[in-house]
Amino acid sequence: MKSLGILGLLAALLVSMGTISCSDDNLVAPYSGYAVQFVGLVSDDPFACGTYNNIGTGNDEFFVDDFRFFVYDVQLRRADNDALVALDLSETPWQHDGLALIDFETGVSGGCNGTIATNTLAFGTAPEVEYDGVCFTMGVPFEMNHIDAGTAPAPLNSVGMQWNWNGGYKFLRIDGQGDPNGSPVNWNVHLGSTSCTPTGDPSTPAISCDNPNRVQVCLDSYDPDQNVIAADIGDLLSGADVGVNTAATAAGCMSAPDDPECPAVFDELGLDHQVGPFTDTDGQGFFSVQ
Amino acid sequence: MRRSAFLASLKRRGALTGAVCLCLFQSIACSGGTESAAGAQGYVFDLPAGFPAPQVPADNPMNADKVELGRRLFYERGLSTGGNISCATCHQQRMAFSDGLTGGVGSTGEVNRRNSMSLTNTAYQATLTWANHHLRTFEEQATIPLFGEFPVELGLDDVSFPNALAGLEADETYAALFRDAFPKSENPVTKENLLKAIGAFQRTLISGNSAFDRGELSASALRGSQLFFSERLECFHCHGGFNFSSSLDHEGNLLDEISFHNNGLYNVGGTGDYPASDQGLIEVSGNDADMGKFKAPTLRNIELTAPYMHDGSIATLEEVVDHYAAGGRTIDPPDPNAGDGSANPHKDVLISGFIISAQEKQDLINFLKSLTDWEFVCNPMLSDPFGHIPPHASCTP
Repeated sequence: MKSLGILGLLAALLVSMGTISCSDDNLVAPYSGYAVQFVGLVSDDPFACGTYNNIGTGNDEFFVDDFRFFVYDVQLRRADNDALVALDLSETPWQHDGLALIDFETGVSGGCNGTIATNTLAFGTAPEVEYDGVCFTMGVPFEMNHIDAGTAPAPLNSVGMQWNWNGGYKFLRIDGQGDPNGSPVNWNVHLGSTSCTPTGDPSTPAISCDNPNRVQVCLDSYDPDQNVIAADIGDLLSGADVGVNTAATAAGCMSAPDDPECPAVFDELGLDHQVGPFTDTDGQGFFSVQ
Repeated sequence: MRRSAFLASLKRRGALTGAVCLCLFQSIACSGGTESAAGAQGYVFDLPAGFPAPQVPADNPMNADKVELGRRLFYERGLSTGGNISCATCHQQRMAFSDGLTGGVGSTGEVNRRNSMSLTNTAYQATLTWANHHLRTFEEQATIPLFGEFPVELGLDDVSFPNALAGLEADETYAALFRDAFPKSENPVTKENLLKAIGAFQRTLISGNSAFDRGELSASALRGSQLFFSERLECFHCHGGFNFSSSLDHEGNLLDEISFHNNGLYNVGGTGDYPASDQGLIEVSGNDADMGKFKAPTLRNIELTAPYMHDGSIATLEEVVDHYAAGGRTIDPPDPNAGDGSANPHKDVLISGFIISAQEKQDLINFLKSLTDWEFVCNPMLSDPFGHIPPHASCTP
């Protein structure tokens, strides 16, 4: 069974890293290693840097060259009592303090952005029981989002996800170009907190943001040993016209509260956007269980 | 169905077993301990009379090796994606660390929408760059020109930056300077230390030895100073204090002066808007009241830092005075930015215009020129160690 392969590998790894922690609190089940696996798609096809057809409302060709996002607060739902159990993420260069960077892009050849290394897992330990659901938040937690990016630990040291001019990180980064072979239009999705105000006290990173823009996701019918979570760029852009970008606004949607390209993208993330109107009341359509 | 077929094929190929790879992650910062000395301990700033010491972060104490390392990095073209520019390309000593352009030009040729600010006395600025209340330290601010992509400035990324660091580590001069600058670091050539060194150098860009500081004003400049500090012209409200700026921070300062002002440069369509391409602090804060607000920069060495304003849209000091005399700038149709800036509803209340004679205007400009500090502009300690950027023609070797 495939899942044993990954569990065995994880268990060995966790033991070797000395991070297995079997707490003796109320959980009767022993802890075991679990990995939540993500897969990047573009309209059901596996993501790779390159050009895809029939994207968005204009059915445009779309060249995609970057695809990464942060997740945190990963929880598994117990099949026996529906309780949400935290997946205690291991400390690795991709994971820190419960935050994981999921990175599908493979780097710099042929006009492709990013790094060679990829990461599709958020892994750690949880009680060894049956699970049938998963919850997580796409983003960087508030208390981590406004630290000094120059000295941040991995994975927050990824400069490609830095968004310092807005006082935080990009939660989701998709870089692309509509109609790459005709009249190319740079069309990116950069999601992050906006309208952030510092407290005025330089000794505290405390900042409040009017638009946190963190995406809370809960998915049913999910067993970490059997399923993966797909993140589909085609679904995310289904309501957007990637062949058009309003002049003097960011190329695509970079989360600006007044950017007319944002509502269609925010709708698919289940987020409201002040340009509105908010039409997608059935939550996010970006992530699905496969 | 295509989707499940794809997943089935993935499962067949065993792709879902997702090997966990801990290697190959880009630029893992391995900082070897922290420097525990406080602030500028053991380092003596060369301060002009009456100047307070700049704020120095506790985790980045000053030392001479660090400043020299920072100077080299500031002028190092290897820290750009094309190997063709450095920090100093947009911040040239001969122009008081500005570049004379409307907007700076990045490594890939992209033109910045904003004017490259003079780095004169930025150590005393409470916030850095034109309009961002989040940026408080050089160490954090430098990540924007180094790694920013919209627009590309130096253009380094998760791949090219580690390569650049490896290049520095392989260079004997740099390796030795990093070791000396960060004696407690086991592996001193890191992103964190690079940012700290550049920050330490920038804290030494202190200018306070102009004719004004020495009390050597001509009769005209003296009359100009009285105008400058008058309630009639109100210049000093936004350009006050020893640094002639309303943004102020220094050692021992209890209350940072963080302020941004709308100076009536635009009023697009009469609605108070600035051009969509650059609307100032509102872009970061989201607060409608911040439309068109930018930091009032220092006026020290202003003679050398034309063109003026956040977008370099005013060419000369004479035109700057005209702008404030009118209480704002009027742009006529068919210019897309047409509008009467003096009527901008977000404009600072102290910018109400004034009547000024030709002689007074000349006096005022002579006062502004008395703020030029040639010792600073020609200081060899701040110059390009690689010889790419020539000194000002007035500097004698």
